[in-house]
Amino acid sequence: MKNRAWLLWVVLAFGFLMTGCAHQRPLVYHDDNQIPQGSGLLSGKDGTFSLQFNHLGLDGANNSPSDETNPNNGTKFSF
Amino acid sequence: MNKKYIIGLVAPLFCISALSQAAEVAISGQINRAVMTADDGEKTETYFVDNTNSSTRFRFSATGQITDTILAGALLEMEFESNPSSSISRTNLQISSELQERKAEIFFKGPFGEVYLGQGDGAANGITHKDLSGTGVVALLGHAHLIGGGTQFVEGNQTGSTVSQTIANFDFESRYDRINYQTNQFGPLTLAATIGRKDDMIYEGSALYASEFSFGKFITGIGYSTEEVTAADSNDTIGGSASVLLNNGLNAALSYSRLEADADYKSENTTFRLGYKAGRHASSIDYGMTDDRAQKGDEGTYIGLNYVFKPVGWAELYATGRVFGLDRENTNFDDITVIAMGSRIKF
Repeated sequence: MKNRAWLLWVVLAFGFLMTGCAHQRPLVYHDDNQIPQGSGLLSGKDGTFSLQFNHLGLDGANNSPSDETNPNNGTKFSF
Repeated sequence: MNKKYIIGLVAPLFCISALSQAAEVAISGQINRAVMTADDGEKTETYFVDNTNSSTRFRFSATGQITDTILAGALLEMEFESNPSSSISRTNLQISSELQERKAEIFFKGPFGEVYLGQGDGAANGITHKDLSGTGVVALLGHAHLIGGGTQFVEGNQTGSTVSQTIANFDFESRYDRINYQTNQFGPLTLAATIGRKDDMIYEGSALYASEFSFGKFITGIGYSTEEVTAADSNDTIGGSASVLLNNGLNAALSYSRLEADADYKSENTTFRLGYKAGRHASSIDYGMTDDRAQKGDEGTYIGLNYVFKPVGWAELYATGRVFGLDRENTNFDDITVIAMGSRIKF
């Protein structure tokens, strides 16, 4: 077997060198093997079918009814 | 898996939502299907597969604030793969779909970092395929066997090991039941540690550095895992990857991993990638080597060409072509050629 463990040191050294660079900011990385971020075919811009529970109706009197909000349980559906 | 079991797994997600004052349950998923043709030098076969690079799956997640600074949540992710592209072969022409648990975990996030409990990623899982080429959906860095991996090397009428058994990387311990702690980002740096078990105890650690510069983006990570083995040496894995993407679209990546199953036997995988990304298009070319995986003295090689087109945010169309070779003492295996094209749709 040809030992290529030195490649790990190259990776590490490159990383350390990069930390010295100016004007850097953290990168938000998303793995390609995960469900993509962003919009979905049916779920739209958010990319998720979501149910939001606001106060769960426990203090439902304070909820202001709207087209999107069911005043009985404070649940909001968004797609 | 029966329906009662699924309902049993999902129900706690809704309960967690009900405990918090304002909470959310989100459902998302994807379907990733492809046509794959494999030629082992003796025969060519075409299959209709699920792309194992990022299998067909769906997830339920529930989150809610339990204090002003602490977020609690639960995640259930299941995959539903029929004819996995990594396993289908001439001797295994059809593989029925099966609902399988990928993740079933609860988590807490706050100023202290992130804590995960349940089935999920180990600290180092994925550290060997950090890549900015944009072609990961069809060619995860260092994981060439995920397309065509079930194909056997042949020499005349004799069949040998499969691609997966001889040419693959060692991406630590994947997913299992564990407790995982991850720091918040110290600038571009994130550290993680995991203790869990499969048949025996597993310990993992990793460091990930991801940053944007004026010239482009850079990510690198390194990890280590050890799995205890009863009455034998532990399985120790070390590896990492690095990738740079320049503002002009040129990019490069490197992946290395090594498994030490015992004092006298080490296997290692190395993959190099060069790519170019322009707008909705991404392409890359790979060269990879795996030594001593199925047996000592084996030398597996792989060269691949990958392309991804993303016309809209929720759809990707892709194609790949790759050639696998196996050099084994006293054998003369034919090379294996695999081509595939397909699409991943997020719904």
